[in-house]
Amino acid sequence: MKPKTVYLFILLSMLLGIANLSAQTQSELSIHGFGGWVYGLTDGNHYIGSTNEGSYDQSSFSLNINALVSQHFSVHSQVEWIQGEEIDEVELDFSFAQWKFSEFLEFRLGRVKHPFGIFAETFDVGTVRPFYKLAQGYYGSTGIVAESYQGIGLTGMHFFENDWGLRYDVYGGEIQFTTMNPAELLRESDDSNFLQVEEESEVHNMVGIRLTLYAPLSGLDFGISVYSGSEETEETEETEETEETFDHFAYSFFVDYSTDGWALRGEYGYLDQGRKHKAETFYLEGTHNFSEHWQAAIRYDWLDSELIHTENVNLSAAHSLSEHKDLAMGLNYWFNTNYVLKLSYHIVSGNHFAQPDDVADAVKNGTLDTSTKGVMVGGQFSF
Amino acid sequence: MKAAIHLSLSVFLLFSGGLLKAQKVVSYKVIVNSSNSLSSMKKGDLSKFFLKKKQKWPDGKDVLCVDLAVDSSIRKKFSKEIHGRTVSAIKAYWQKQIFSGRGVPHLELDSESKILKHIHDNPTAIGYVAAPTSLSKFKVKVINIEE
Repeated sequence: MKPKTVYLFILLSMLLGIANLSAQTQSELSIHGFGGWVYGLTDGNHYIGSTNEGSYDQSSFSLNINALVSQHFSVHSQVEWIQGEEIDEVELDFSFAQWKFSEFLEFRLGRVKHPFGIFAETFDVGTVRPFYKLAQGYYGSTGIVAESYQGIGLTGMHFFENDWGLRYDVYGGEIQFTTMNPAELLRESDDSNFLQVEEESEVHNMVGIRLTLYAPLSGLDFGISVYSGSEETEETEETEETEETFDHFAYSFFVDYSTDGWALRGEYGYLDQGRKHKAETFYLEGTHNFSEHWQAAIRYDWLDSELIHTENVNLSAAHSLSEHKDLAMGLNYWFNTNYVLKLSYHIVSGNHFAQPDDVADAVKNGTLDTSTKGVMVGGQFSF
Repeated sequence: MKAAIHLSLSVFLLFSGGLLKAQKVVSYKVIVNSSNSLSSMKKGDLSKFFLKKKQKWPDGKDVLCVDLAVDSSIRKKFSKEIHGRTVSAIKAYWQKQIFSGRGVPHLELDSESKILKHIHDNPTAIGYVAAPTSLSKFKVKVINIEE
């Protein structure tokens, strides 16, 4: 059976099972979903799914199920279908059970959304943000933010007499990442196939915390996220290296201020991926709703990453592979809060995320174009 | 001259339409089951109840909030005055809660009679209806909202 069929089977079973459970226990069951489609065109390099021929292939749909089985017990699941230039997959975003002792103490177990920064828990939900895609330096394949963790967590919220509020998340388990590190292409190696630009990695024995403070001023919140765990190098026949464990540590600061007309937010993130690489990133984003339907948006996204072991690496050949800057301007039309059309123009500098078809060849021949301009037009919905 | 008259008439009609529309926006009153011992509450606490940021009455019982439908003019007024945000902004808040697996919004009912019946039947419920609405047939009472 194909993985996609298995997921569909699991999803249908979940729906039927929860509906049956709901019927038996008179629990509250809610089904929601979200998705979108975007067309992306660039003037050269590929950039987050957009190509210089124009890409129509990026679409996604997610189904979200919440079952409040009893006053204290609830179950939350989400499955996502993604289709893109080089992706066609179905994946389980999260599936966890929660026991609520009180407003300030809830226990979670399973595959849980990663409580990190502002948007990690709503990674693909386009109707809660102004641009079709999130800032890549922070939310892209950098190794800072994952979509979910597998393990256990505690969460809760408390509001004090002076109207300040605190939400906390403490969690532990394992996180899986896909990280991109194109600067590896600059390493001289006898076997170029061994150079891993995109890599799957697992962070074990991970513990993390996020604290979010809600100010008495309506719409203003800010906080800090941090987690730490350990990774292992992969044992390969080529190098006959022995397995080695190293630390994976990330933290961030974030602030978000939203009113009915304006929103301003920013996040700063730092990653220390032990013997692999370090990265530092931030983005600033602002929006203005100049009518009930029309919204203008602007965002500046910046990333600088650094290889740790630079032996045999000719960084001067293409330092741009470690860098990313994206100045994005957007214009959105909101039919309502559940359906939005988005147009954005991106001026990208650096090649960490914007690359030609054969980046290794371009580096070798010195033809790597460090500047990319792109336009994205699409729509996102939720229900 | 004729054009000026037409223009003046149009402006007048636009304004008078606006005034008529403004007159239609009636105020609301916040109601609870008559067994509820509270007679007043702070606006900030009411907002937190409706956003599930606070979910317990002072006696420790669960709060059951009930909202009017999103297109209700009463809800628009309630949202702006109690949350300080539009109904759209509150819907966006709930999207974040739902899709991060943190919770779902309160029950929404499409008529005031259903709201009254719901609060009549549930001792820990709270909701709102238009100010002129008669409460006489239901076991509900109005509570004062303080700044």
